[in-house]
Amino acid sequence: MEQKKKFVFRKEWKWAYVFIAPMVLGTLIFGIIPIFFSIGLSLTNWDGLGEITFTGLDNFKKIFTDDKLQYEIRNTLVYTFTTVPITLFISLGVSSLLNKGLKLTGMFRVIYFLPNVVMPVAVAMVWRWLLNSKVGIVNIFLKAIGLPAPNWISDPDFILPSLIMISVWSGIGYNAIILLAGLQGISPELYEAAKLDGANGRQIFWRMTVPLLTPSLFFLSTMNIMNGMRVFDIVYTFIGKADQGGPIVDASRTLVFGIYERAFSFMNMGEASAEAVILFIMIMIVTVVQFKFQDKWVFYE
Amino acid sequence: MRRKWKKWTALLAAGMMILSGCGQGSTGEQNAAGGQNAADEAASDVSASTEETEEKGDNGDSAKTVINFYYWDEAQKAGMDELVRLFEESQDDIIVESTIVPFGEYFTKLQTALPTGTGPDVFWMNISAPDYIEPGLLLDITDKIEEAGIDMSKFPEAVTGMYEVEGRIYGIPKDYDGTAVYYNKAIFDEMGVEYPKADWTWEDMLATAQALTNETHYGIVANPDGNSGYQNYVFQNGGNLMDENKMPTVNSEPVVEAIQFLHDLMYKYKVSPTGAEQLEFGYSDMFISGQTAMITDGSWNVNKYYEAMGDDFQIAELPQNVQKGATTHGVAYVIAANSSNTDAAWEFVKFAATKEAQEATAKSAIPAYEGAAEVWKTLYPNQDVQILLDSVDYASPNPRYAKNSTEAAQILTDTISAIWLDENADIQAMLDEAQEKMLEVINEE
Amino acid sequence: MGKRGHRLRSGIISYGFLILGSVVMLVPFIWMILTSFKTYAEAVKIPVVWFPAEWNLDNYRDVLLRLDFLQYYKNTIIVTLLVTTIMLFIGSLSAFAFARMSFPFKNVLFYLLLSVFMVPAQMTMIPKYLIISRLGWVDTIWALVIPNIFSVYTMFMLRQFFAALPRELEDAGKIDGCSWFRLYWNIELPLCKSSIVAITVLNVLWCWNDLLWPLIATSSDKMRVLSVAMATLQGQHGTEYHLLMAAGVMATVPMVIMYMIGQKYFITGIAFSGVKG
Repeated sequence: MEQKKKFVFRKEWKWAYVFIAPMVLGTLIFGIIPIFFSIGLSLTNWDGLGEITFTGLDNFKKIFTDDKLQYEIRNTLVYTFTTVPITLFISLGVSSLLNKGLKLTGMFRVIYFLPNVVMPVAVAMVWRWLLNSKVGIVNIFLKAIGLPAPNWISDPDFILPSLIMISVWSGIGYNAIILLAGLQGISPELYEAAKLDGANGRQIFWRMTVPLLTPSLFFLSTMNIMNGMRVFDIVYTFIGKADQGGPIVDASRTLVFGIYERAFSFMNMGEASAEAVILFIMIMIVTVVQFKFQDKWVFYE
Repeated sequence: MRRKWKKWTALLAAGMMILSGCGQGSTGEQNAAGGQNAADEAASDVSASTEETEEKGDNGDSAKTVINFYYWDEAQKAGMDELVRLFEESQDDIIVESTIVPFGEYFTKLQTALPTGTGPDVFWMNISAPDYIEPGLLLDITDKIEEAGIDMSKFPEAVTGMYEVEGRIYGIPKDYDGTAVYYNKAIFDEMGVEYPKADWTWEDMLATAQALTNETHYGIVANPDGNSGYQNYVFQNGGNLMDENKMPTVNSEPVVEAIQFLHDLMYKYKVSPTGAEQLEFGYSDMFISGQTAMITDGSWNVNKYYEAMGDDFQIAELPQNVQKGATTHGVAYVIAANSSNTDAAWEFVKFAATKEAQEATAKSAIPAYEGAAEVWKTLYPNQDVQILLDSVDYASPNPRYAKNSTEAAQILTDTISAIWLDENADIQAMLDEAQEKMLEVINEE
Repeated sequence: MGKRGHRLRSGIISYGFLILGSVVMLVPFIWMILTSFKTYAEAVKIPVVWFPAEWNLDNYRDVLLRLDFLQYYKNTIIVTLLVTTIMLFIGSLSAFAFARMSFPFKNVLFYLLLSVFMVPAQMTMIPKYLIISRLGWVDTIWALVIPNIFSVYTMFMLRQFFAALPRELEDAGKIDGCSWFRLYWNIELPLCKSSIVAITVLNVLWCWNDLLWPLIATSSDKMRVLSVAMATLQGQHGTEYHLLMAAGVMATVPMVIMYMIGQKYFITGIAFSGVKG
């Protein structure tokens, strides 16, 4: 393939650079330069308002001795690596149901998308109700089928599972849309051919549909992990606003929650940047690993 | 198709021009003439829509100075609009453009905008003032106050003190908070319990709370908030969270006793919802819903409770133990030091300091100026809001530690939350640990 | 016979799952609508009161009196349209290049772009603000539009879709003597219709709800967008949920309508493009 193109090679380069130029330049200015600014700040004691003094690696030394960073790293990793697979798995199921051409599919598509539209405050409020240990529907249901009913929002052991549950709930519609678009891209002839070969529904799904969806799945898992590692809003609206500190917050605080607190509550931009650098390195490692392994499972035409 | 392509290229070129224009990584040759035209064309396209959004109101009188004014409370919009209107009527040279910035993002916004000089000229400030005074972001108005002959003793001392550093003044008080016990009259009547009286004590309160507690409601809520909750009890017990050098004293005896008293309300006498119940239901909402008969809270919530509960909502004095005690706090108008219109900004702040202006803003907060609160009182004819006004006489301000104050305060908040959730909490030990950690944070360079 | 029974059963199971899921998905939305009709006391009542005692539009009236909704709608729509259109163009063009073309430093550039997802927005906000203030864009439409149109997310997603298209398309295009741009614009882009609809729906939603950046970048009422206006309803001491939810319903309705229209294109996606794989 590369051979064939040789005669337009230089022209192809030129066009490629023209095509990516706006993206690269824009991202450089509004995305990459700010990152370097952040990295630079991690070596200073800036408070966000006053003068900047260079302090070397002091910020890193300090935050590494802070218990809160340990909680934040642990919670972030647990959150990400449970939420992402569960969400993807359920979304895959939902999108294939939505792609079956059943009656009322249009209505279901709208309904499954609704959690993304509802205001985050409403989501947090409603879920605080659903998860209320005494009057919440979740516990009423659990009791009815004879399971233990935990204190979802006032027990430090259960607050993170609560957050994961809400995140999965709100992520399904979003992921399902992208997978649905991917499913729509698979041509009907392929299904016909598979059926003629005598494959049953399950075989078609796992042997043909899923492999053809792998580019979308790869995109979603990469992005979901990056977004999961940077989770903040849900922690902030669901917990930060109801509870000001202590065991519950410690059991659910994430890296970005810590970064936000250091930067804008404690006015310690230097330490916040140092923590952001740690997060940056963590995400980079995970992402590089994902790209390294993509050949193993992602199927490009 | 062709036309579309052309339009897109124009826009694209415009984008590139803008990007390379700011001097970062401009690459390659620009097709100068063509690019420029295209850029102009596209720019005018976009700015056409800008025009639509922007309705320039003050084209005629270019001589007027415009000052920007930020505040965070949407509920006080009527009062602030009135203040601006009165000010603009009082003179001809200055126009005030006010902006409501949501409280959740208010300080984030100040932190980004102030240092670059693109922020407000005049804005509301609260207990965070020292964070802004230290790097020199707030204008020192001591001399201007003297020159204008403003009598600072007309404002509560607890509030003026918040905006004073080493004898220099940085803010004009706008309002202040009072604290009191709020009670649900319907529950008292239902249980046949006497309403709280002036000068009542902790023991009286405990007895009242016990008489009010049954299976449908608690007597009181011991809320874990500093401002409206435990801090008041600390003051009443003759204690304080910090000493005169602004160093923490959170493990001192009066503090431990006060916290123990509240812990006992929850777990020993069981007259208050537990920490977990408060987390699940929200202490303020529990009071509104009649799940608890009493709550300690600030004047800022009077309107909310009144709206939700009507005249079942009543006000009583905070109980005393060793002495009377309450928390106060107040918002002030401050001026940005790097404002390009400090004189105009001062004119506005000076105006806001007058009794007339303070009365105009009295709709939803207690105005700071002595005697200006009468207007506020008329809003709640059937509640004894005078109690809230009087509470400032025996009130102390929120603690503001010598250094890294917010971070130090967070340690205490964490500890209090942990105590609230733990029935068997060793309060002395936990507060000892908090004290140690707070000292560490404050002494850190 | 057996096949039919099987079909029926799988149909029922599918509906069962979908309906069960729908209930869970609907609850907060319904709650938001119901709360928008409640009084303040009803909104925070414990245990929760589902239905207001009296149905009236008072909350909506109050919100409209307090917030200049028409103005905010207008601003939000203008910004959203500009951002999502330009974003889609820039994003899909670069996605095409990354998926279909070869050039030096391709991978390096791609990873470089991805790195914007490795830092939280809260951290890059300040330097971003410094840049726009240096450019003199603070409180202008430029500040709301330009920094937001470079969506690596859109680029990455569309790259995956372009990469999944059959390679033969490209060669066919070249034989026809098409330029790279024509190949992108006339052949490959139309094939990605359903993914373009999907990404646009998500971009519109994101742009519509984005709070932090518009709040930081603008301050005057003339430039205010819906999300910022609604955030002002959340006070320092508690939130007036009944009003907030009324505002929320008004802000949400356009999104729901947009999505209802958008989702129809999912059904027709590939069928209309008329290209066989």
